[in-house]
Amino acid sequence: MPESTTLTKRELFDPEFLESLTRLHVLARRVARSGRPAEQRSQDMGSGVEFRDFRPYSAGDDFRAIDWTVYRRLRRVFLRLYEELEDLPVYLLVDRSRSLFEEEPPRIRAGLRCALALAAISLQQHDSVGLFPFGADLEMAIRPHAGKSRLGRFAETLAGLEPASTTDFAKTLRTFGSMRLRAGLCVIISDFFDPKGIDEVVASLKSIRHRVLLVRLWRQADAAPELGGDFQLVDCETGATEDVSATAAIVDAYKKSYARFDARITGYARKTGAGLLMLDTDQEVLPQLAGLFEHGSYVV
Amino acid sequence: MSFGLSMGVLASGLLALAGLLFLLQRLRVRYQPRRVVTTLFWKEALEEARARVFVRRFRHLLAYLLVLVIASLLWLGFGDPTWTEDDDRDWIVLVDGSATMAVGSRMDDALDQLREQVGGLPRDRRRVLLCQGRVRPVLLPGEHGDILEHRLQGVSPEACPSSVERTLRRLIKAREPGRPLSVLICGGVGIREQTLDLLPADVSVFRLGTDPGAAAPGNRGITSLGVTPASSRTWDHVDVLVETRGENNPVALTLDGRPLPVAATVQLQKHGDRNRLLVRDVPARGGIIEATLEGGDPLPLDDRARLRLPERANIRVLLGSGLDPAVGLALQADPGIRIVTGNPDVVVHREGDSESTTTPTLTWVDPASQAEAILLVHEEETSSRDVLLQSFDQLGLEDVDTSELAAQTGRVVSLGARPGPRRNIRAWKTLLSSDYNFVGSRSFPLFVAAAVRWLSGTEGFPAFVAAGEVVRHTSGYSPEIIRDRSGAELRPARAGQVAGEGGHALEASLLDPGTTAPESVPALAAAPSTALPTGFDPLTLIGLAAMLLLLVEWVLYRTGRVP
Repeated sequence: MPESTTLTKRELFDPEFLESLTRLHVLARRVARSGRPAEQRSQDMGSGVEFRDFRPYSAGDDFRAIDWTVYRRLRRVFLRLYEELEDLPVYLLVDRSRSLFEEEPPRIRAGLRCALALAAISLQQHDSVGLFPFGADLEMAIRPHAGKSRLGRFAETLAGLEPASTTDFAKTLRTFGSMRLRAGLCVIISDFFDPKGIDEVVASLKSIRHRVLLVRLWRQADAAPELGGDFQLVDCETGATEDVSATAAIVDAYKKSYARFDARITGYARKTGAGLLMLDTDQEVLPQLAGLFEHGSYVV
Repeated sequence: MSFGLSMGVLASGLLALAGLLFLLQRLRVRYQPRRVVTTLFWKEALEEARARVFVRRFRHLLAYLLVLVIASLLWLGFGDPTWTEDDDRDWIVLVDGSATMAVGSRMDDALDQLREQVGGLPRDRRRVLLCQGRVRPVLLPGEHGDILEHRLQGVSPEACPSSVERTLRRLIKAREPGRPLSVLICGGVGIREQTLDLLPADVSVFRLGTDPGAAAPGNRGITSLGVTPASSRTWDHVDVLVETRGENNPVALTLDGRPLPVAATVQLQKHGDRNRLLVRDVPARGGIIEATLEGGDPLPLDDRARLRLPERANIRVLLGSGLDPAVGLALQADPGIRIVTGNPDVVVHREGDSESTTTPTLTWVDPASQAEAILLVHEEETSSRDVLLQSFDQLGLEDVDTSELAAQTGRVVSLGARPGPRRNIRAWKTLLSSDYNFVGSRSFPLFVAAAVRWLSGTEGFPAFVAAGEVVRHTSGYSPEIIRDRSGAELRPARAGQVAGEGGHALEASLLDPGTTAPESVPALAAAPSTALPTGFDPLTLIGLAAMLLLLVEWVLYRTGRVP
């Protein structure tokens, strides 16, 4: 693998790039309970400032929460409940299979920038962010924690990602599911080229118990390959070969196959309400990412 | 449709093409390796494409058939096809290349017409013969028309009579019975009616192109140049006769390049446009006499004639003693014979005199010593029968009164011949007897002269040597017909030098009245357009069809129907 296929920490940790992310926010409609105090609305009732409900007093409750106005009116003791603001766990699943390190520019560059951008956005709003690179299997590179200061570590870890051999979504997501992490936002940054096929990928995605944001790394040539002649195509991940005479009929069949692939991912996102960001790896990442954040916010 | 290639080669080529293309279809493609991020979609695409195969085993039948048709068309085009619509007749074009065609631009015009028309004739059934001194084919059946152009390069009229009519007769005689034949005459010569009357019903003769006519108005020419023994009886001189046709035709005569004295010439009586000039006593020393018509005319080839004169030296004869004086008188009276006392060419003596073993001898023998009245001893290589046949006339034996001789001698008088080491004549001395009238007859000096000439081997000479005619001796001392080195009759093809048997050089001239002043014969009818086959060039159609199919293949390729 040439050294230039990935990005250095310096390249990733571009202050200008990070500065432009400060106006972007990831908002969760409601985060899961038992989180750390942060800026996301949670299902927990606590000491926030946003009134949410009343409930009858029970022994042991904090007297400071009793609504004395209601007591004077009804002669019954009720507590005022306020919405607890907690963090949104963001799990960045970054594909580091061999296919992302191929071609020029390699897709991994856009993937790393996107991952760092999302990490930066989440960390600056005190959400906990974890990094889970995956290939044939998934590993936890950075445990989910909050803290803006962790961004440097993210950059360093991302820059140091080595290519894995192949992609196995089924195993990856099974491993991810077995970690029993607090419900949060699962961001999968990948080209979704699993040798087992898109059906296997979609089936695996359905097993995720988190909110899902798919960041699909693609380029124009995927849909319309500029290939003419007789080629022995070698799969960079599996090493499998296909002898192809790229006639008009074959190219048409390729396009149809790719369109089915595209439709399967889009259909999954539409049906499950998952987010889908089509990230053209030949274009600048930030403008494309900004498109995801409507009015500066991406609501999960 | 016919092809330049043979049907065997054509069919073999088609089969080879089919096999080769089949193999090409079956050959594995050498794929160029390329690394891609995933083969997922290609794999699915290939699976989908495989669902559209035409047959199970042979994947690209349509592509194969298409390319086979295209390749076959190109191969057929390479086979140089021609298409003609006619009955199955043969076509022969006779191109006149004789002296007649030297008038103006006749030859060029005729060749242009030939080039124009020959392409329309069916290739496998056409033949073009150039009729000059020798008739030679310039385009054979099956040959491409372009070869004709190559073979006609440098062709110009020859100083020879037209051989078109003779060739036509030979073709009719040699043609395959029942097979229709059309003969196209290209040139100015006409065909006589008696020849046309000989044509079978399925043979037609037409003129190809325009008829320039055989005549050349205002032409003058030498129609005869011949020699005879000098009327002055000078043995080593000859008289030369020159005949010309046409008006105002002064003739310049030279011998070995030097002009002959005008005083030696005698103008003979003029007949119509014929002028005859006799030159007397020209030394017969083997020189070349040349007659040239002064001034120009439309046909220059008949304005000059050359003839090599004979070499006529005296024959040295040694007379033996005791011979009948009549023999000596006959020999002395012969201007070609000189009596010598030594180093003779021929010895004449009685039997019993000392006989030379190397010199030919005329021996008068006792009738008791041989059965034949006259016995000819000839060279080993000559047939005795031929010698007898020729000598009977040559020696003047027909004038001998053999019945009287037979009555006097009481024996059968016969002529015999046998081979020997050298020529000899052995004759009964009874022939010289005063009891018998042979010595007093007019045959005797002729017999003696002829016998001496036969013994000396002195050959006669041709009176004239004309292109296209057999050369013959005038005198009877040698075989009448002169043969060439191969033993065939010597017939000069054209004017110029020719070599006879034994390498004797002769000079032939045109000397053809039919060329100089042709007879008026009806012009041949031009070939009607319906008589000529309508040929078109299928190569164009084949090329168009191939291009169309290539276009179809391209469309099919673009639409993904063929790989």
